[in-house]
Amino acid sequence: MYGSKAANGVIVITRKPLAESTLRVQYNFTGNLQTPILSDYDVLNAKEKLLYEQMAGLYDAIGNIEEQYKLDELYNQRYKAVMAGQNSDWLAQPARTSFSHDHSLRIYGGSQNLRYELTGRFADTKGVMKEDYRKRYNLGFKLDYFVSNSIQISNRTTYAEISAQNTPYGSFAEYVQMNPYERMYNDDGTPNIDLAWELNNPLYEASLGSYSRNGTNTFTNITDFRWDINNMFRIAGHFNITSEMGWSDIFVSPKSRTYKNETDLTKKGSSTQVNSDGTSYNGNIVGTFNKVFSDESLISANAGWEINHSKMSSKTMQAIGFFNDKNSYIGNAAGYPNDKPYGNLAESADVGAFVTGNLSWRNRYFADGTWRVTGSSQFGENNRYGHFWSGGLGWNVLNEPFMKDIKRHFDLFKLRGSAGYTGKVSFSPFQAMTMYQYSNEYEYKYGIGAIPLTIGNVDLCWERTMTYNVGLDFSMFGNRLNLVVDAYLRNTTDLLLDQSKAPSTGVTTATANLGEMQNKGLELQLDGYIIRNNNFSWKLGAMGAMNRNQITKINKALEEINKENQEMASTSLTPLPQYAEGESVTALKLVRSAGIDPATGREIYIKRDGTLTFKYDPADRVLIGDTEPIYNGNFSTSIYWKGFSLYAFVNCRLGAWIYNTTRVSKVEGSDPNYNADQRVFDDRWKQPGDVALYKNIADSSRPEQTDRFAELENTFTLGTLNLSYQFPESVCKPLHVRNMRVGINFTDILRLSSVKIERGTDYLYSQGFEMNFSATF
Amino acid sequence: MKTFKSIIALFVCTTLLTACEDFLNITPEGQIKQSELLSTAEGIEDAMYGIYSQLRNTSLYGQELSFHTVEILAQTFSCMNNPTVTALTEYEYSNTNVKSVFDGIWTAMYKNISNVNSILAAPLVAEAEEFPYTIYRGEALGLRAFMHFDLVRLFAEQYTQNPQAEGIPYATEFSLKTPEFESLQKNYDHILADLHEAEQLLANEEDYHEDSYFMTDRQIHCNLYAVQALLARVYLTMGNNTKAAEYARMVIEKSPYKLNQKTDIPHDVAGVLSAKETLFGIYYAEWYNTVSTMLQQTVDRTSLNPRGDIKTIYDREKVGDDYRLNTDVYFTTIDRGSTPTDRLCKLTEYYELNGQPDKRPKELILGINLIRMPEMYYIMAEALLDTKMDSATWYFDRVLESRGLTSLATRKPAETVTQELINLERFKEYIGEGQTFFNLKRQNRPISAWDDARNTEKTIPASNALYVIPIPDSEYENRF
Repeated sequence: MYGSKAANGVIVITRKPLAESTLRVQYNFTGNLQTPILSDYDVLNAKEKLLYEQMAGLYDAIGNIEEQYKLDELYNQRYKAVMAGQNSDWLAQPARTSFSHDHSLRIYGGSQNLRYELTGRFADTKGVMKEDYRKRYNLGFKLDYFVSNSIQISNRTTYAEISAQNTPYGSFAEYVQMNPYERMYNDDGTPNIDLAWELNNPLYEASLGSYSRNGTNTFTNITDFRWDINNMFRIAGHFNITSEMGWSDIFVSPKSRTYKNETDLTKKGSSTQVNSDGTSYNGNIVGTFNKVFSDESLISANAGWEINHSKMSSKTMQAIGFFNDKNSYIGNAAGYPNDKPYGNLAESADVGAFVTGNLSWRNRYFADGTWRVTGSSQFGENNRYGHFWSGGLGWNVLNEPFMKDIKRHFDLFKLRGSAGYTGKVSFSPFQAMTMYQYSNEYEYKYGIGAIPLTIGNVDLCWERTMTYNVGLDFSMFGNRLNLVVDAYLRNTTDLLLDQSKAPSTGVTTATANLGEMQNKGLELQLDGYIIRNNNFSWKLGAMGAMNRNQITKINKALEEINKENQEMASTSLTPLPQYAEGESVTALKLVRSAGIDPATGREIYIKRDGTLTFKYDPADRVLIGDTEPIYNGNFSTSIYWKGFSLYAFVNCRLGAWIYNTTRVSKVEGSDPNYNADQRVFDDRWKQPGDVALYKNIADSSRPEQTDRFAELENTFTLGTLNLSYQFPESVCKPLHVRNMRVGINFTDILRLSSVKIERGTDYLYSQGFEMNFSATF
Repeated sequence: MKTFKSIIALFVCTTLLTACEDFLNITPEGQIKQSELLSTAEGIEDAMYGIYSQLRNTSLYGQELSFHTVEILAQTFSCMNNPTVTALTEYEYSNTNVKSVFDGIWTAMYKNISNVNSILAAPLVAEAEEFPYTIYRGEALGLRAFMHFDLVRLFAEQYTQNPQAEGIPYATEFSLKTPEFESLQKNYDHILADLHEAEQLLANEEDYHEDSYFMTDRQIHCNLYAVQALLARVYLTMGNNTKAAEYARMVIEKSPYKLNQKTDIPHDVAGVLSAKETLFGIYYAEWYNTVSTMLQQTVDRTSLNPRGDIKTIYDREKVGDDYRLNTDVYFTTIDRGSTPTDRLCKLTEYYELNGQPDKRPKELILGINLIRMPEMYYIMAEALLDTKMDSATWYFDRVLESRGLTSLATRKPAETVTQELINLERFKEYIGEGQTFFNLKRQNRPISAWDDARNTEKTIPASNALYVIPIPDSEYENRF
């Protein structure tokens, strides 16, 4: 929030006088060891999977005798293999334990009116899936030049290169889906491509010459200048330009099973090349006025202007028809695909100007104010500029004469208050004004077509929020105990929200100014040293935040429709409105479920009047809870003992309702042709009488949205654990080292939650630790 | 010195501010304001092209409403192990996979209807009095009626059963206001009103034939004959045989399109518009990709298998040589391991399939057929069935002959046409074109299906549970 920061007081910046310094060298090393955690993917074994398939009806030809004979034969064949011990471990195939390393070097020094710095970095990051990598190379040079004591110019140039390769083993999700009763390899060691249900063997794809690589080359130049005109006026400027070129090269071998239905050799195999380039620049100029009085009073003012611009474009080219698995050179392709070219162009710009003023009287009373204007190309023409203001007051109680006697017990005792407006345009111009989009997809023999992006809402306006904030900063016992408390009230008018629409409108969602919203919250930060001396210290800290969100008013039109719907409700039940007064904007509304019917394996829904039904009706939705947590916080502790430091960080999130979509797709919506989660086998309804958590195993359709998948989340995470050691001078000196440090860092160590974490399957989940070494010579 | 400084400061400030407008004026590539686009004839044409191109969406005539969903509902195809197709063959409209298919159709259709309403609201089109704006307005009104009519046929009861039944919303405005539901009677009033106005606006379109690219290849536009043929289709669905016959005869006698000779039959609709018979179709150069995987190939769980008794259906009442049954015309046989499998190859583009797209004659238009001439003859036969049996048979015989079959009149002994014969011929002719389900629904007939288990034909009795597809949940959930 603008302005609220300045209520803390004003920091007057003075430059450290330059000293001749000798050349210094700093080196930093980070190593990262990761091991794949396969046990988190709880998939069925061969025997269970085959049984699942049978129960799901894959071997039932529904009475067709000829077909049934074939299916029986298939089943027997697979059953025999399973009995003979066939149980392929697909998950382990693409996995590896990886070690990544990252080196950076910094050489710096200076003289009377010159400072220089040279940086370099090399990093080779490897993932836990075989053969993938990401390599980084950085080189940078920085020069600070002092023309006189009042003018400083600095320039930094950096060049960065990234080249990466995706694993040829493909998405990990494919391995999770492979059936364990299938052999991975034939007797001669080649991958088995004759798999059940016509699945593709990802190991076969990995054995081909296909690849997918990409990279970027980035060049950045930053120039800063500062001119101290006199001891009251100063001008500073910043200009930054970045140019980035990206490329991507994807080759799919003609032997790939993607082409198994393609008979034309000149259409097998493809090479796709994407080239992108982008330039962005931004700059700002700030003028500052500072006047310090003899009684520590101060007046300061800033005025500034800034500008941003970025442009990015990409082009895609594809060639098809490669005759050789290894020969991916585009010059050997048979031709272009019967397809359209693809390109992308994006450009945006914004400008802004601001004025701020600060007053401080005898370091006791502070006042500040900010005014700011921002204009952006992304806002529609009619509301291109937004104006914001804010103001703040501060009172440093400690410096009052009446505190004189007890002042020595305190370090900080300050009260703050601020108020200000912020605005938000979270919609694109085409949402406010109907825009047509041309595309070669809409080509129609004699011309290129255009269609509206969406139906524009001409009445859309900026969302505005008025924030009131009061706070307290407090420290005592020589900064051993620190407390920061903030309470806020945010009133939003013209609340912008995406509203679902009936499809017959022509759109399924529309952004609208829905009414007014209020956020109330309290933030608290407390930390303190339990013990602090030269060789040993122990610090504990806690931070917590609570927020309550409520729609305080809904706009007239919407209110009328809600009312109308309720009046009609006497004759027929109408769905709950998406947004309603008194509710949170993130309210979760679902139909209640009475679980799975033991007799039929179908889900029983609870209607709003409490009766049970098999028929899903969205009108039966009720309010379940809020998807935002009631309390969000963290605890941290750090211990220092003779050069050793230990730091731990625990995060907690309490009282949020979530709709568990992974359970929906992995357990209930699972496809019996693929391998599945253990719960599909254990917890789904199989025969009359089963009391099950999930519906009939033979029904693979997606379940309706009910509170069966809503869970109340309470989670504690031990996010970071860090141990480091700073070598004492007695060790460093003889080695001609100024400073030396080693450390080890663990992340994502422990998670206690009322909701089982569902691991993503696109990439393999891994755990590990990072080690650090740094030295300055 | 001080004034000089302020002058400089003022100058710098004003330049910076005026430069801002230009600096911030970035219109994303390929985008243009609605008011600007629809203020010129070229712009309106581009917007019309956009609408036609959206009809080939896979949720619309690119898949679901041509050879896929509505054909599966007519029991033409099955697909083992595909849960969605299986649920469709069993009319399980509460299945969530099936629900999302119909939600897709409903949503895509109304999106495109709103695109039409955008054009109709533009001043040049709304107050059209002269060429070319009358043509744009005519086509747009025709399209609006065409799209609503197919939604009504799918999601509402059959008009003749219960004209006062609840219909669908008829969208006529381009705005965020959700249109109200109305009765079936009102829906048909709207459809007829739009079609009759379109007919008047397009009445003189032949005067401008090939005047511009837009007036070239009228088959790929909602042209005058498309509108008249649609009127015949709508009146027949409403049970108004007199009007249906009036419009069908108009199309047969006045339009430049004629029935094929039997030698024209091979590959006449194979991913291309029939040069002689198509009254309305959509240009689509890439339809082959969709059609070949779903119909031509045997991709597990994706490709559709024609019903087990497909060949015996074509043998029913077959007197003469049915040119549609010639090798690789409507059907082909693919060797799949040991068992030969029947495939519907009627819609697969012939030259692309044979790897010679360059050999395709330039005058062929790639695309999807929506209304073809034989339907007009079937409508004549059906409309005249009760009153003028001879004429009815005469119209029916013309299609038989054009397909290579022996006409009823020349059979020994001579026969006359029946409703059953018309339905059978309609099925044979329009397989894969999404018309059979609607034809049976219109007459409230039971649907014949093939029972794989018992290897026999079975009959599914007609009912609203089968013929009226529930309107998607999303339509009721968010009517605010």
